[in-house]
Amino acid sequence: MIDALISFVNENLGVLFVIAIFPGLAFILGFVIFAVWYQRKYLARLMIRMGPVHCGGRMGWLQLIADAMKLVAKELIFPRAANKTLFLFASVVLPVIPAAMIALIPFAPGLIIYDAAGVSLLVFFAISTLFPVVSVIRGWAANNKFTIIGAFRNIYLDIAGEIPVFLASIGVMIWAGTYDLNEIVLKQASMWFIVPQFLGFIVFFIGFLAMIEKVPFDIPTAETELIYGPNTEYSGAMFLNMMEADYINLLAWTLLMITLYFGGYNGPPIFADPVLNGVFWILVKLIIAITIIFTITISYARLRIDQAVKMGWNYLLPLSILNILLTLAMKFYLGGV
Amino acid sequence: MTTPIKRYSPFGEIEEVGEGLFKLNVGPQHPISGQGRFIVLTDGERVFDIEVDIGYSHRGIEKILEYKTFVQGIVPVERMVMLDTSNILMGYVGAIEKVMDIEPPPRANYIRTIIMEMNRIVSHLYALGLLSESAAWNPAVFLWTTADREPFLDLLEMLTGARWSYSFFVPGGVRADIPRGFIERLKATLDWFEKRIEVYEEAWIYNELFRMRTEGMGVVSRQNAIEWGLAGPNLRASGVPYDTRKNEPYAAYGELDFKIVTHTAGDSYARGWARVEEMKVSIDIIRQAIDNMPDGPVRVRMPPRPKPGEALFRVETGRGEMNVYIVSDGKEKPYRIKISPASFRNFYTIEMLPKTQEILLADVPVLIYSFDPWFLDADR
Amino acid sequence: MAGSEVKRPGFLARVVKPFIHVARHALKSPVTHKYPFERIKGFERTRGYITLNMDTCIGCGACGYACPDEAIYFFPVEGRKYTYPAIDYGKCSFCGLCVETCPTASLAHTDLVELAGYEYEELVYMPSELKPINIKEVLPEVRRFLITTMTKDGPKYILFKEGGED
Repeated sequence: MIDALISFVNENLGVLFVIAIFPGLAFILGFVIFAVWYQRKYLARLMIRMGPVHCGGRMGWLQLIADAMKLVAKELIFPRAANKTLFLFASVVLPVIPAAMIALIPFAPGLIIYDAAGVSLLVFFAISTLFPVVSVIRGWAANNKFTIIGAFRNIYLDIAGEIPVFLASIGVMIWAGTYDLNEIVLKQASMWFIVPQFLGFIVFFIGFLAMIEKVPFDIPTAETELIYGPNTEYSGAMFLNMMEADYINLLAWTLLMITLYFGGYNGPPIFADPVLNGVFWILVKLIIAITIIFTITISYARLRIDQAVKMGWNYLLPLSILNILLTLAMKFYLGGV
Repeated sequence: MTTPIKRYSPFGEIEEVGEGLFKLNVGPQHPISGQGRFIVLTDGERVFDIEVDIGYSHRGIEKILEYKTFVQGIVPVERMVMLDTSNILMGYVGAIEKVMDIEPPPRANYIRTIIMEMNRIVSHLYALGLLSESAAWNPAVFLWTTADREPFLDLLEMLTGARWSYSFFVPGGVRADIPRGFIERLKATLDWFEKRIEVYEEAWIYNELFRMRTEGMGVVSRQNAIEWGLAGPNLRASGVPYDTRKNEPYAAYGELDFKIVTHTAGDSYARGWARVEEMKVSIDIIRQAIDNMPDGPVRVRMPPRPKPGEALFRVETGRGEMNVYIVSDGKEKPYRIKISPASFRNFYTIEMLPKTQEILLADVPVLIYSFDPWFLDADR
Repeated sequence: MAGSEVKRPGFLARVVKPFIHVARHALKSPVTHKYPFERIKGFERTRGYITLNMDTCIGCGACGYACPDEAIYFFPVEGRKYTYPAIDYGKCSFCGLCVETCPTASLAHTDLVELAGYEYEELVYMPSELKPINIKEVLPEVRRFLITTMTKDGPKYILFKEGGED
């Protein structure tokens, strides 16, 4: 039996490595820790102060580990009238959904967790539609007036943001001629898709901010009106889960944006090994993208939910349809890529 | 959650207001509420009624003042509101000077004016920061304004010895003269601050999303503003040119030349804008006061006990007009002091607004903080 | 109904300029200082901890009468003639009226404000304990002392003294 186990591990070492270490579990959790630390330090700089400086030297890089340890050690509080099963269920399942979306993104030629034969972009969107469903469950199960208002707002926001994102990526699909994320990246070797798809990128970007619920669209988690939105009643390790869900969602959608519009893992060959080169460039683009997103988070105000829905349906939807028509025209006359 | 909701109408009867409504306790334990409670009757998005519950921070300052002599009383009075201490202290000290019939020397008046205007800048900066943080979740502007108050607080510490509880005015003048190096540092700070206001204007006031959140929301018409007793920059943003510094000048305001800023819109955007404009007016007043300051003593002798009598004194604090009424029966402690703060009346407007227009739940923080009410001020 | 008096600049100024202003703040140095390793030195008039000079005090009681918080009590001290004031820092509001009223100028302010204790009784300082306190006793980790100044570009911290006594 041990021999069978050893031979199983030996044969599938590659897959296990990819699932558990990179770009799987360890990378995702490591990214969450890095992103929260980076956000706290960078936003502190923008607010002309220092971020965490005590834990782990002047950079404070151990602060997040200390926070995680503290949160795990705290008591799990269940409100008496809450539906305990669904309360726990939502907290456990919510971080898993964006993690499943990361499985479809190519990090380097050949480095992809799950290669969905030819339809990976569609599978990505299909999994992403589960997020609002579980989000409503978490808001309803807590039996609190503030959380249920947050859950309703999550539905509205999803209505506002999802359609423009899908239609903008249809533009990319038409231009590239394929549904597969791997091939979309390969076709951007010469020119990134942001150039022919500029209008689509603007629509995608605003809808993408709505999907990851960052200012100006962080309406469900409107802290000043609804304490913490649908997450209000979570404490201890469940709170940690909710934070992870937020940042893994950010990672998944940012990686999709980089893959669709910014060339994925393409980049000038600094390293000889193509896998290492691809990983390096995608990480560099990721850090630049989250820096810009964090700066946007702090420069603008939060919209009201009716203003967000109005923006999604009055402005973004016609623009995205215009983008599709333009793409069809360009592909017909210029031959596409 | 679908039981009919009953409540007391303004005439005391119980009336039914609807089905499927619930009451949210935007209460003392909430990120935006401060030390009080707002009971919001809502159906999830639309707000039908707001009830303000004050009294959480009542300290009985008016009663405490009956047991302190006139000079000792400056310490409890200025702790009424932490932000705006010198304006409130001016009300107390002015009322006592009126009852005792003494006049502070002109140099003391100018020093008082400088301190009060610096206090007004500090208070409006904090209000602007709170409006941006609570209304629109932009902690950057909140932290910038908090950081920009520091040079002013350092200046006040250089002059008076403390950062917010100055205890500097006494009946008869101020406690000390201006130290060396103060005027140069004040001028440098004002020059720097004028450039900072431009940054705030460009980054925040002209910001499209902030405008979308606050424009056209919480409109208080001119008629309503006068009827409901609104005060301060809120009143001036609804088009009423009323400022106690011009109507009944006290300290050195009668000799200085400044304008009152009014807007006709009356919405939350105009109220935020009115505060920024008032900060510019304050800079102007401080500059004039520095240039025209007379020489002389800073304190006159105060008689230990006044003649029996009454006096009323009005000041313009950062929130609006405050009245102080003192009754003295000839002893060295006052018989009764009644303080009527401005925030008490501003809260009434918050209650009346859902009755005149449609307000959404997401607008409640914007509404509350555009009036800049302080529960400490209302509770005394 | 809209805020019509406030001008509405062009699209770029409304939407892009806030982003640029925020991003420019990343280049400024922070306005916070690392307390307790750095401490800002107070000004001349800062009203902090009050010290008593027992050689000049005559025990007249003017400070006790002037105090608005009834924080001054009088106790005899062995070997000395008069009764001397003890200050209860749990009640003191640091207003400085006692310092002002003293006819022999025996009370003086310092700029120390780190007076916390674990029990209420610890906060009552007897006349013999009202001596100047070294900052290193209450704040052992302090290494640098700073002063705030105002320059053309804004407020800055200047190093006053590194290490040593304050």
